[in-house]
Amino acid sequence: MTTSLAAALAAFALAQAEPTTAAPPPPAASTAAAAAGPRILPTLGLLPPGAPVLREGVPVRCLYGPSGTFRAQCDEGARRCLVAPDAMLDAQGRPSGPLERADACAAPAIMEAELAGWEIVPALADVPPGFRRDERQRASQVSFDLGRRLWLGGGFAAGGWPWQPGAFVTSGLRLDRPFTWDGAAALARVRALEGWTAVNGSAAELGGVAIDFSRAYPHPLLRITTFLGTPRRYDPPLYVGLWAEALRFETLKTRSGVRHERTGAISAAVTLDFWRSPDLASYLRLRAGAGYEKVSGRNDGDLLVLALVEGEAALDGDGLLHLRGAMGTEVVTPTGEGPDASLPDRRWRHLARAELERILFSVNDQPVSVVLQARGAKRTDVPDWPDTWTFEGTAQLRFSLWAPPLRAAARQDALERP
Amino acid sequence: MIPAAALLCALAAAGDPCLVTDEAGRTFRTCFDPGHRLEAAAGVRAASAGGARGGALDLSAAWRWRGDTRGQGGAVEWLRDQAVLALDAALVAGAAEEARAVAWRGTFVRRLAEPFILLPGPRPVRFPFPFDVGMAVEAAGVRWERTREREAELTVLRSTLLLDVARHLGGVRRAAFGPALAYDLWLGRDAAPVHVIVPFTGAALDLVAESAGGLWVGALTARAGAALRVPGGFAGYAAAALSVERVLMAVNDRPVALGLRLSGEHGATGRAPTRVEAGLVVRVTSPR
Repeated sequence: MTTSLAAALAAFALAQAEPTTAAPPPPAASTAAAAAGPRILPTLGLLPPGAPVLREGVPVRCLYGPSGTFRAQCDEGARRCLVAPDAMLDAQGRPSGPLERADACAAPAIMEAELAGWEIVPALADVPPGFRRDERQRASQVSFDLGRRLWLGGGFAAGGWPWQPGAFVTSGLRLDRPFTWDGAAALARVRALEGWTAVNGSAAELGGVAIDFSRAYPHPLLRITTFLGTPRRYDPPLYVGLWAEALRFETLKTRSGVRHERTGAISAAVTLDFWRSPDLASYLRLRAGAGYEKVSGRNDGDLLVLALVEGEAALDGDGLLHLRGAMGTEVVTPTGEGPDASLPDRRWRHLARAELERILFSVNDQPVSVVLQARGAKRTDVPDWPDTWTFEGTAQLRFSLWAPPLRAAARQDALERP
Repeated sequence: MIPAAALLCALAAAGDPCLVTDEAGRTFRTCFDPGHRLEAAAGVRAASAGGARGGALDLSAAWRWRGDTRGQGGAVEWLRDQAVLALDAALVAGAAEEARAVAWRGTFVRRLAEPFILLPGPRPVRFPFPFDVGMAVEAAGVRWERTREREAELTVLRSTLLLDVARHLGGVRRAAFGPALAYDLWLGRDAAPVHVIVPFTGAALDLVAESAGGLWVGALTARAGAALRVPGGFAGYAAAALSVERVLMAVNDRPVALGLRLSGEHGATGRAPTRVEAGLVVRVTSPR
């Protein structure tokens, strides 16, 4: 037992005077004996920097004795135990409440007296992937899946669009769910109520519900074998998926004060991934399809043909930094009477967007992020719209609800050193 | 002589504390989950709006779903209340006077033992925070009334960031407040649509208290602020509703409650600028 370990023990003797909810009560028959037995464990206070975390996949057993209640993982061959307080600690290292995000320790319990002569290593209690315990054993989420969240935000936009400069608010629901598609891993991405509204009311866009499916292809759809020289096989990245959206609403006031309102009824497309991460969460793809929409003031609807290159990717392992982007064209063709005299028969919407989102901090494990976005558009489907490319830059803050840890989040292995 | 209540308690069915067995061996339910039910209600309401007063028969229905989750230590982690297809109609002389429907409404609050703010990084820094946080969302609503039958008010989205202090008020399910965001559309056949936007220029309050057995339920909701009408400009609005319900009896274990509701609003819709309503309602719900 080291001196530093002994020093770390001072406060934790008190720790076990208070019960914790994570551990089952000690066996009644042994309680008196345990309390009366020799004190073997050192006093564990605040956990020292570098303290290991109880390992995943190894049973965590309850440890009772006059020193209190602990969680332990012991190696009988090495006569060595990792021992963690079975409670959250206060600033003095005394127990302050039940341990969060830990299953109850398992039976059979270990009695403190049984560990005489063993090496005792102070440790942090086990913690799920994507969470971190500090020296007081408090659990905090440090990995966030922004593909599963409900968010609200607000910010400021500046640029050449008619309503700018001005403030805006945003919202959205995103629900990514992995599933199995014909025996292969697949991912469904659901988006709902995703959009923005200018605070001055002169522009807004809101999507209804959109869903798309990506899947892994254990057997490539396309194999190319070359016979020039040594025969070689090439598997081009051909990953096909589906995308659909129901309801999209856009309203904007042009410079002349005319309000243009567009309601998209339904759109569907095929997606072709050029690149994707192994968990399918990040991707770069082509989306091409068709839809139907209607503009207020016209009796007939319009057919829509769309083709975009789009992608999103997490730029770090904890999901704190995300990059998203899209660029493409939508062609609008009237189904009945021609469009307004001021508009061409066939109208275009050329769009480009890049977005960087960084989580700044979290409140009760709910992330607050800053989003920087640049967008450009050139469109002929709106009367009195500038006939050149127009650009905007926006900055916003988003509060996200839910955002659980990434499915592939790392597990904490030790308390960080300063 | 053993009091009947004591006898019933003594005979409470093992495993389900809400299921009681009487001296004849018959079981019945004595507590209910007011957040998880399919409900239908009928009542009467009296309203005062724009100087006019009147009464109406009030009918409503909703499917409410409560899906609270608990952490590994058994403590509540998420409070999740949702309502799907909440319908409300007022009838006068058998004809519809007013109707409201909301496709989905959800309130989600995250509970932690020690709320905090965390600055992520190689060595994250954690600061204490006094509130639980959450969000309330209402999507796809419509409101119509006979006196303006060529018009309808659509709620596209309403949402509130919630700061909840219920942890400090024992026995209260939710005591939350926060800034509100909303986007409504007022549609008329003979007029251009009016866009009504609340870009965090409003606030909402949501207070819900329930007795342990679900026999008493009280709720106070309020929202106020400034809404931007396009065309029109900013205008103030305020709305509040207070309701209290008590389960009086159960039929085949389906609770029947009597409720009192008071509500008022000013500038919240395109109709009469100020409106005050009071109503009594009998609500029948599915067991839980």
